Amino acid sequence: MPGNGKLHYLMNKKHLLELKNVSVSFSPGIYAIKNVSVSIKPCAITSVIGASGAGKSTLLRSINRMHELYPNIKLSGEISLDGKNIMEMKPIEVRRRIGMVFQMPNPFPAMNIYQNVLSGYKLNKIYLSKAEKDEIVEKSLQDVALWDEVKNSLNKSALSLTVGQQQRLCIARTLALQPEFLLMDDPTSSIDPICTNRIEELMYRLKDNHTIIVVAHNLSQASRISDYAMYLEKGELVEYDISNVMFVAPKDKRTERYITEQIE
Amino acid sequence: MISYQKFRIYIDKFFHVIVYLFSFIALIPFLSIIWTLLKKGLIHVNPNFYTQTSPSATEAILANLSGEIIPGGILNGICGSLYILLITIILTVPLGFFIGVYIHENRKQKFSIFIQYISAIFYGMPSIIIGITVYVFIVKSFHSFSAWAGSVALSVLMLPMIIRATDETLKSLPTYLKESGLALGASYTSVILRVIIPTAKGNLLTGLLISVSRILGVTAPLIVTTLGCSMVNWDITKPTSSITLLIWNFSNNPCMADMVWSTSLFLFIFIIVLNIIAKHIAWKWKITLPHE
Repeated sequence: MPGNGKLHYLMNKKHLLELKNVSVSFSPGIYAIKNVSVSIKPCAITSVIGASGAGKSTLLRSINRMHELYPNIKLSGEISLDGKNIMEMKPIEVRRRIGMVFQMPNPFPAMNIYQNVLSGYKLNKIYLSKAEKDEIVEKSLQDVALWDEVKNSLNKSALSLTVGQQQRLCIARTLALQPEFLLMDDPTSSIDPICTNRIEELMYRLKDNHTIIVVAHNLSQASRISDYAMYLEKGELVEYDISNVMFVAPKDKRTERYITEQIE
Repeated sequence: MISYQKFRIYIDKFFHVIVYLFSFIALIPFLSIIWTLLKKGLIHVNPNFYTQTSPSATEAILANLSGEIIPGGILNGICGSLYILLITIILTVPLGFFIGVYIHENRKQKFSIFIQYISAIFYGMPSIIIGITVYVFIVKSFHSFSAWAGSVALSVLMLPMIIRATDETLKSLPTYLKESGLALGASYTSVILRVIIPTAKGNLLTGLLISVSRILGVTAPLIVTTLGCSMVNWDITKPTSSITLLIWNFSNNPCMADMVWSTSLFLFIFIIVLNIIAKHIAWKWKITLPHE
């Protein structure tokens, strides 16, 4: 049963993310991503699977234009957000609408927990009243199930938290800006199973209001959490389907071989 | 027949002895300098030494003849050094910092490479050459030795140090800090000012203090730019004294030779204190980054 947020999304048919013939190259003729065309389903979790070097993280990073930090990386094709090419939008606008959570937790070391949650506002020079700040901090930390653990130590350094808590803090920091999309680059790779479970639950709750694309190295995790899955091999999109269908009866031999290898 | 294992133990012990011996030999000049400074320098240290300006040659000769302690102090040198240093910091730090950021962020751009080369050349440039150049362009043009000419000379020496300190500090920070700031939709400037600098502030300040302590000991460019002054001078356009200039002046006058040691001891302690503060800041403000 979809939540209200999902209904709102579907009824308004907004926030659509489409990739058309997207290729990414690190040097001329060497492609990390080759002609990927896909329409991301809104209010759902889409997992990106594939072997190391298949281009999963590159694909994710190109969606919010993080690739532009490295001048040698070239992108061709079109990534559109609500029908508008993101390359014609301001990168700042793209990144605010499409939040990103990295593989390793990366709270800002010089800020405390409270400041970390609000860092998006501070960095974007959006001024808030004390009451607004408190509300955003509490809501964002509650969203990631961290509020009860840190509510009495908001002034402590973010680095005093465990790795799992730091990762949830980073998700809270991203959520505080209310992005429409969440890109998650294998967010549970560095944390223990209990925290992994919490983050998976969190993603499941978030999908009511957010479209989530997650890179998953762990196939069982991908099958557990995702509604849709795409399999990349050597930069090519081999298959994109409902995850239950793909994991049970993949249409392409290459997907089947990869899934079989991972299970074995 | 010595077994191979015992042979290795002997070799290990031998190298231990060599390392300790060489370390001790290296310490001898340092310890002897400190000992001489304390032994000869403490004689003239009294409250007047810090509150009075340097004595004239006549006062020094009379004191020597009567076997008394040379009157006067180094107040004009202390004030001059701090004044010149302050102007140097104002001229250098913002400029050096922004150039350091520019170099770090655009390492492969042609202009950036050019600046890196120039900075490297000036880093090792003999200070007297910079002094002479400033003398030709500023002192001769304005027909006066001045505090600001000295500051310009010291700035040229200090600028590459600040650039390098900034660049090295930024290099030590992981890329993910910048990426995570940008991923929140922040502008590049905002990430540098609000994420990178606060994280690196300890190292940046340490770099500044170490540069200052190195600049404090520079004498040659000041001889040809600020000249020196027997009074405390706060006029930026007039000749000004400094601690190193006083050491130079005292050493040129046999009657004031004793003052050299006291002034050198003061400078030595001042630089040691600066270094201790730098180490303390580095330790106190050290931020252990995740994934280190």
